[in-house]
Amino acid sequence: MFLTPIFLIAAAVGAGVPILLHLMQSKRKVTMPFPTLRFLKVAEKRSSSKVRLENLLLWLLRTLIMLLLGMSFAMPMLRKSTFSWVGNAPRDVAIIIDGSSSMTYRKSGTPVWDSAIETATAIVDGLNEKDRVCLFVARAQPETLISEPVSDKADVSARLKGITPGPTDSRIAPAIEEAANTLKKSSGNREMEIHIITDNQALPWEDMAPDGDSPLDGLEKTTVFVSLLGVESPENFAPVDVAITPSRLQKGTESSALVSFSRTGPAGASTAILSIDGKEVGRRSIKVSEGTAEPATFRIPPLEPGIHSARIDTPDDNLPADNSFHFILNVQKSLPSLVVGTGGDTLFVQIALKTGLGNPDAVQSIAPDALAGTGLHNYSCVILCNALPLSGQAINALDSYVTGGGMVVIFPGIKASAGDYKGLKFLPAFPKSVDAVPASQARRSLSWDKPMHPLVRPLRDGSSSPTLSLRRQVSWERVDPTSETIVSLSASEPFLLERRYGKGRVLMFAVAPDRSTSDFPLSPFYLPMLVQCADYAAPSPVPFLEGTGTIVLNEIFPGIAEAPTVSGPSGKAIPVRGNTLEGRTTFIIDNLRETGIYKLSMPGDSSPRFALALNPPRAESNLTVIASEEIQPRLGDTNVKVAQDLPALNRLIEENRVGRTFGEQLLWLVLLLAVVEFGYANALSRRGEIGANKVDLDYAGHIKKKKPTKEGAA
Amino acid sequence: MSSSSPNNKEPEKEGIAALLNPAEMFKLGRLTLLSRYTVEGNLAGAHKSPLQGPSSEFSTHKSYGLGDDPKHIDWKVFARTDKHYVKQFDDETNLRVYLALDRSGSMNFTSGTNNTKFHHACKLAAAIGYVVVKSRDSVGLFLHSDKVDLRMEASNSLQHLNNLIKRVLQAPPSSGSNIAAALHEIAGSVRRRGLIVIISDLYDNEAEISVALARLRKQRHDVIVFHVLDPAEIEFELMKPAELVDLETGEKLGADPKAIASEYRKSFNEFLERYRKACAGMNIDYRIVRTDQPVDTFVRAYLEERKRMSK
Repeated sequence: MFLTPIFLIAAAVGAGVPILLHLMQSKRKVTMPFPTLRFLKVAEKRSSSKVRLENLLLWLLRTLIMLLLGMSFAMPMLRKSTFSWVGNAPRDVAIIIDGSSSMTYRKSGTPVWDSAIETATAIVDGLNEKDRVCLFVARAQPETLISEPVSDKADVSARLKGITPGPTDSRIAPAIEEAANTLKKSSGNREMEIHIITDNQALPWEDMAPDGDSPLDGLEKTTVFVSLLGVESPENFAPVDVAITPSRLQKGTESSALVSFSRTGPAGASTAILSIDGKEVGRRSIKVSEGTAEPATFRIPPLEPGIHSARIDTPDDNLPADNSFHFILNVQKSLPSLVVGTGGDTLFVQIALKTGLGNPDAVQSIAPDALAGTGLHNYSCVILCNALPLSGQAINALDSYVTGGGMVVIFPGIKASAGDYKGLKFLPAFPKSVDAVPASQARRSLSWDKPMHPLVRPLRDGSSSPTLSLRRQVSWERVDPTSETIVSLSASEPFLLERRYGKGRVLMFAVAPDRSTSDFPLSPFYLPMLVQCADYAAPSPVPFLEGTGTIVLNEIFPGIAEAPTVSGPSGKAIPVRGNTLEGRTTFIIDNLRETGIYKLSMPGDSSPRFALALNPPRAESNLTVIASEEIQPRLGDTNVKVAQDLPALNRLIEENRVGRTFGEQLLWLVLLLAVVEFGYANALSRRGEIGANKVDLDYAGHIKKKKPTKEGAA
Repeated sequence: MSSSSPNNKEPEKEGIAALLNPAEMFKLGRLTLLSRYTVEGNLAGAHKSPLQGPSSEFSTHKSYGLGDDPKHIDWKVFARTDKHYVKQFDDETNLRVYLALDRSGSMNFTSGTNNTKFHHACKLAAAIGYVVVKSRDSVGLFLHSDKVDLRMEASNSLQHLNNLIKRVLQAPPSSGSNIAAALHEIAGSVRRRGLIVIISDLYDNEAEISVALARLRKQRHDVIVFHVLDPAEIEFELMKPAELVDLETGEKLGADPKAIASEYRKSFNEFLERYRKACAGMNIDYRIVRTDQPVDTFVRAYLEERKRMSK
């Protein structure tokens, strides 16, 4: 097939040029007298066959040159598919559009998303009548818009215009699998194309390992076109995380927000602003390095009890979707800790907490027998000080408390036996016995196994390792595999363990809270560690959520029993549906997409309160690009063609559907043949020059003797 | 009146002056053409004669007989032998040179800037003739194509030479060619030993020409062959394809010179080599004369070489 077949006429005419020139030259022969023809006849007889062959070769060469020259201008196309010259096979085309929030990145002022829709529309418009198309959007879970291939291009175009990018990230692999499954159902001798339209972000491709299993395995005759429409060097600066310290905010106390940022692009400087309830309360200059940004700490002034909306803003950039980070601050009047124990067992704990928290009401103490009848949800944490053994009801209450999100801190004592611990299924480790420690081994140093753990991070002041003097030591029967050691004794034996259980967590020390087993209560970090435990345990509302389609309100607000009324950041009412299973009703919000602060009001509430903050997934803020050549290994042996823009994609599609032009290669061949022709013709021409078989005479007319030339000898 | 007036045209030169300028004639005038063999002249000259004659070159003794001049008696021999002997001397005679000039059609060829072969042959003949006449030898002419068209007896006068050249120039090349027949005719005409100078392109049957040359040699003539050729014939350096017309037969042949040049030269060289060998075998001087070579230079070089060879 030729793109410009008109030049084939030129090729045909050109092929006749050498013979035409030859004929014209024959006609233009000059007539000249010559003394005798006898030697000419002999020479012609001797060389006629050779000359004829040379002339034939030259003619063939020149004709070939002219023919190829014309053909190269006719732009011959090499079809990819075998036998496709018989006719173009109909195609089934699957279009996958990346629906992640990074697709809103502005490239030269225009969102990549617009280019993606334009590209998809162009693909659809370029299809033939018998071609069919199906449509998918890659989000966190693939969204199938047209599951069965259809031929109605107008319908597909209309649907394309209705798609919007989501606040979430996306995964390409599931969408490809979805598309591949659809295409596998196609019957007949159809060619298949999968078009993936995305930005240059590497994130959507991360779950496809290079040279791993391809989602396209088993799909034959398929060409994958990947349109990377984003920029090659994107720049983005966005807040990605907020850590509130202390996590339990109380009326009249100051706190701080440690804000982490994501940076894609070169080094520089930027700013971040903290606003609470719509008012700016802090502004920081952020030093930005290449690919990273330093975290910034904002001071949160004392706030009134209640739930406050807060937001970190960064300057407007090409990806505005992640410039704001919403979270809520739950300030409470007070939330006490419950110390369970008798007599002197709780003395040190109570003193430490009351002193450390600066509020005598922050700690309440009960005897172990009263535990079963106490409403534990009114306490931020329950601290068991040598309180075992416990009754079954108390154990169940604790289990329920932990499962519901509470925290239990356990100081083992000498009263309990190993069997008393067996009933507490939520323990991080199960003591076997409490043994006396020889005086020679009493001094032990503590080491931080999890130095960045919120419990111990403030305690690490850079001084030497704290030491303890042990009198008795717990021997552990077994450590639960899901628990982790936060602090160790002599770097080998657990001192403080943590286990997440249900929605709550359980902390377990290896010593008693009094001086019966160690001098831990007298050590300088006893008080801060207990305060950290109390802070760590403070139940606070989930400060923020990252973009997700569906949330279960009961998971965020465990206590709700009736359907609340929820309104979005724009004030629009959000439908809440109830789902009753085994007598328990959960309340669910579907398709939660709008980012910002949502308000919730329970029946009977006078006014709605801030309930949750929704942010786009912050992984999307990392715009690290994927190189074109990294895509092929992720898609296996499939024929993958990567384009950077629509014209390039159109060219690739043209090459794939029609074929690849080899006009340029033909021109190179023509050049080569022309060089060969020039050399050959020149050699033939030089052969006739004087030199070979020359008669050399002296002045007196003698023929000089000379060595015969090679040609003459021949 | 000014000499540059168009009405005062220089008269057209005739005779030897039409072919040789004074400078050339001056150079040639000091040369001699010696015969390598005995010749039979009719006048006393510088060339060895087969007869006994009054020269200074002693030949033999002969018994004194009736009619012998007593002054030739060798008295020294008589003193020794007491017999009368007379001394005999070699006769020295003049040289009769016959120019056999080919006026066949092929001699009318020129490749462009040079003279035609015939004109060059005429110049060569004039130069040889001038050398001969200046040596007081006689020069004659056979102008031939397929037969002898003009014969002029040998004479040693310059006027004769002028007439000879005038006659030659009045007879341009014809179409036919039969060199062998012409040479046989010459051989039949020239009975007395002389020097036959053949000036031709020798485009004829080589074997027959060789036979004719052999006949001339058998008649004890000294023979010189001047093979007159145009450079284009030798080198065949035509650039463009051309249709070549045979000057003698009118036959046409289209040829791509570049394609056949090599084979042509090879074939032509073989042709020249055959003549060279044949002439060498018959003790005939064979020289190729290119029309782009000055005649006086060639004649001078040739005659000096011949003189050297004669010593």
